[in-house]
Amino acid sequence: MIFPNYWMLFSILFPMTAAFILQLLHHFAPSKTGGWILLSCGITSLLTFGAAVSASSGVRVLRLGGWGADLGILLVSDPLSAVFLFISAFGGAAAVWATFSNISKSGPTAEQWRLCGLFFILWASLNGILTTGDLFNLFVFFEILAVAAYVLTGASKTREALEAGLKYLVLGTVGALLILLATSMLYMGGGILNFALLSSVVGGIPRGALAVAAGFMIAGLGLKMGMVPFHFWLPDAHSSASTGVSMLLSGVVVKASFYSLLRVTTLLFPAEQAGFSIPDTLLVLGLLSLFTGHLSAQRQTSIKRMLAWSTVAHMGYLLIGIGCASPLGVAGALLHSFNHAAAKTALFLGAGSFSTLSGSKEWRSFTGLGRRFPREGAAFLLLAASIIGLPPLGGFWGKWMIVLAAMEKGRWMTAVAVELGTALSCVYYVPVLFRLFSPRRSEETVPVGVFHSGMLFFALGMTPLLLALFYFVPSLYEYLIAAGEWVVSPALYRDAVLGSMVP
Amino acid sequence: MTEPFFVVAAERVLPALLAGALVAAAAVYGEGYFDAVEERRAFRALLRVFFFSVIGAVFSSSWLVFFVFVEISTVALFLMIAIQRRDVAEGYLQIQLVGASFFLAGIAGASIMGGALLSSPVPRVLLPLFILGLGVKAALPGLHFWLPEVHGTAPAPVSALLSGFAVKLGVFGFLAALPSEPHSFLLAAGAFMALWGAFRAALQPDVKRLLAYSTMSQLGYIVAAAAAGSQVGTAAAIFHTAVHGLVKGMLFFCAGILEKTYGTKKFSGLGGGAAALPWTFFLFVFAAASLLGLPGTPGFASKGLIKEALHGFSPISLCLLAANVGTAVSFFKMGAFAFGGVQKSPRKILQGRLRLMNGGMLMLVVFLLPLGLFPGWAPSFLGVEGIRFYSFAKCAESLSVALAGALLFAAYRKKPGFADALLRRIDEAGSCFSCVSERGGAFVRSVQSGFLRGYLFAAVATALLLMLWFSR
Repeated sequence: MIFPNYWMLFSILFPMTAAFILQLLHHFAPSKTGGWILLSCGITSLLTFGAAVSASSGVRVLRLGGWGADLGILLVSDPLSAVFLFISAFGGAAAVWATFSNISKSGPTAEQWRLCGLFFILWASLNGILTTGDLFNLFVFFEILAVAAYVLTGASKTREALEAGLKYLVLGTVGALLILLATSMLYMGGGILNFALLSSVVGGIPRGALAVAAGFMIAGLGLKMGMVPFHFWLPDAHSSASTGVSMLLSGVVVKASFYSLLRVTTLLFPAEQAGFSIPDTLLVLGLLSLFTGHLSAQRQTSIKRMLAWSTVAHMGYLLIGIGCASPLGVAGALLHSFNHAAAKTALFLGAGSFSTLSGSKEWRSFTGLGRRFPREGAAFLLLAASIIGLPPLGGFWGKWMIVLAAMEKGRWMTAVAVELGTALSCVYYVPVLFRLFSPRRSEETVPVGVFHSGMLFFALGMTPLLLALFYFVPSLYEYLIAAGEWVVSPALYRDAVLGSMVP
Repeated sequence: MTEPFFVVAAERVLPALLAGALVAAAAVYGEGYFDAVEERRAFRALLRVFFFSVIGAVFSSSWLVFFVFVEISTVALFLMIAIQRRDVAEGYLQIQLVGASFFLAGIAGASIMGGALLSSPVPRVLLPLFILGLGVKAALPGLHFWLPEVHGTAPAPVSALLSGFAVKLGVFGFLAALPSEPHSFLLAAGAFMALWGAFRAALQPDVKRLLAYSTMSQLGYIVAAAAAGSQVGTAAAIFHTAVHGLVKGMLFFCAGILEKTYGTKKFSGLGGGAAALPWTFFLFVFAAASLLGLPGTPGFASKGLIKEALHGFSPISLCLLAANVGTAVSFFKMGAFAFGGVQKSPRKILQGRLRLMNGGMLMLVVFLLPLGLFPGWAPSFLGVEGIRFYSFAKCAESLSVALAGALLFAAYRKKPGFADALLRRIDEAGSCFSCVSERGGAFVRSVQSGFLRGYLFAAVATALLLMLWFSR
């Protein structure tokens, strides 16, 4: 692959520049902005995809400005970040397409113009989080992400959205504060900010300081991710935001936060040196998230709120996966992140389009829409079945690997709880599906209009079927286990990064 | 992951033939049963999905493949029940998925510990998970609470598939998971199921619930035979699975015809079917005689084989004998109330539809007749030779059991609903899943208060707790 190390750099730089240039462009050539937005989306997606492909074949290290690891910022991507870079490439593209594809000849609407810059800044910061090799740099990118996310949440300016944005802002800032506190404790203890170097000196940091840092770091990153009990902002924010923003937030942003939790806890707080076991704690928090998410989703009348609570539950599955502390568990969590990102992005798109058609976010008003739009209805059905976890569709295989990993450690109750989530998700998804496909009563008006981004939705709806073939692709399974190995033994990361430093 | 998915063996062919027979008969029956064109179309499509998933399950070589196909069949059944009763269908799906949770955990453990193929028995320590998981499907006592409701209120052809085949998948799993030695818990469970099901069946006011409890009772026979651990036991379990499946299919079809003719399932509304539905009555007599195990019917052969298998376990055999009496009582009750007695006003069903429904029942008879006329064929196909089915003692035993049942029925005929409320409460004690999830959901939803101060407090307090937890 040409310039294997540089794809990640441009996947951050390009959207960041595009954000500002697009705003300028709107001034000078408003009618062309739509095309330029979609072009930038395509290029960013391609760059991120290239970064993912280059990372999947080995560790890529880029020294920014030529500074060494002790003074400068490194960009590092390895097979683990490759999975999340794929999610970013596709999820980001889907979200931008959903929001900006229907730009009319006269140019974007005022709202679209307001949002386009922020979308690309968000995407750039996501790629930054996924490829950074430096602790404080992680915090900086999280801050950029946060600002963009808060504003995007409240961008539709309804009372609900503004309240949700404000709650997200306050809680998110508390989370950022916790991350910053942990970063400073680690810096004070270790004297260094680079992940690889810090992970080699972390044994010398006093245990008390390490414990404080670990607690705050998990709290901060967990808050960004929607881990219980830090999840309270998530249902409000993800349900009040506009469709494209919800797709991005629920599909990609929480996964990036999960990635950083995974990276930081395994590199900087490994069990042998720290003396406390983080995976067990994450397992418990994961179980808590699972049940909170599924039980809270049950009586929701707004479809987007239901999907947001479902995100909380699925973050629980990811935490349980890494709580099993084995390559198989991590591999299961990675597969499940991919499945969930694809399905949740698409489900939010579908929910948004159905809401526009029926005029309300209540799923009870979706009567008969699945029959009126059979292709999209079938796609919604497949996606919901995949998220519920029915075999042989894609969503089942991530859960299967997590259940295997749990039984490997002898944790049969955790294994049962993971699959119990399937039974619990049926309780709330099935009535929605019935309502979509039930015949419309004659006195209700048939909705007119087109299903927004129908082709995209249908394409995304086919992913569960594609992922159903996972069982037949052993190389994918081995790749995920190998990525899991990277996580479980931090020495691999350390040696790879520091080894590439040698001129 | 590169192992073959499917394996063909003698003990899997018989269940596959059963599935084929039931699906074909249900297809014919369903054309006559469902009122609306939409319903008929949906049923036909779902029947195909059900058939393929069940064949996949029966011939699967590894537990994971078996699980995947069983789940697909569960979804197919759920959609079939939902054609008429959505609430019951949703409950059915949830309960089956709860059972699947335990089953999947067991399968994962087996994959890790090396017993991933169906042909090898499961490691001992994982057996409780398998029993819990498969027990929900096979309606073991304590896990059976869903069966009367679901089998009793689903549309008749779907009940036939449920009672005739779906519950047998659980037993099929038991046969694969159990080692070749007697399993005392399952033997006791089987005996209890047989007794409980038979006597509860006799007390039901509703024809389909009676048949549902009778399914539980016959499942008890099958589970006990499977738990005997010998090859005779396995053969007996599979033979009775086939016979019971076909017979129960016929009986549920019959119940559906009664429901369509009289507009109700309750015995209080039925009567005089022998005159109004002569063909149906004739087929009912054949099916009931077979279930009772009268000499000459396939049921006599399969119950005889079960008695052979449980030869060494006399308390279990005695329980099964008593259960037989209970079965006799229930079917004399069904016959007397539904087909005998005072003629209640039948509705007119189109002759074509009635012919289709009777045709479905007749198709099952075609499969049953050879099993009855050549009782030794099925056991020898399954590897068990040299059983003497017909002896004076055995015929006398089965006839006297039927007679005892008839006498008991005649004596207690005036009290059809004895202690029904109390027993129903005992039965439904296990159905706590939906109320737990409701209550739990309400509690968890109340925590999401809307107050930002509360959220901040939770976040900061947990951060401090985590810090304390890690530094201890």
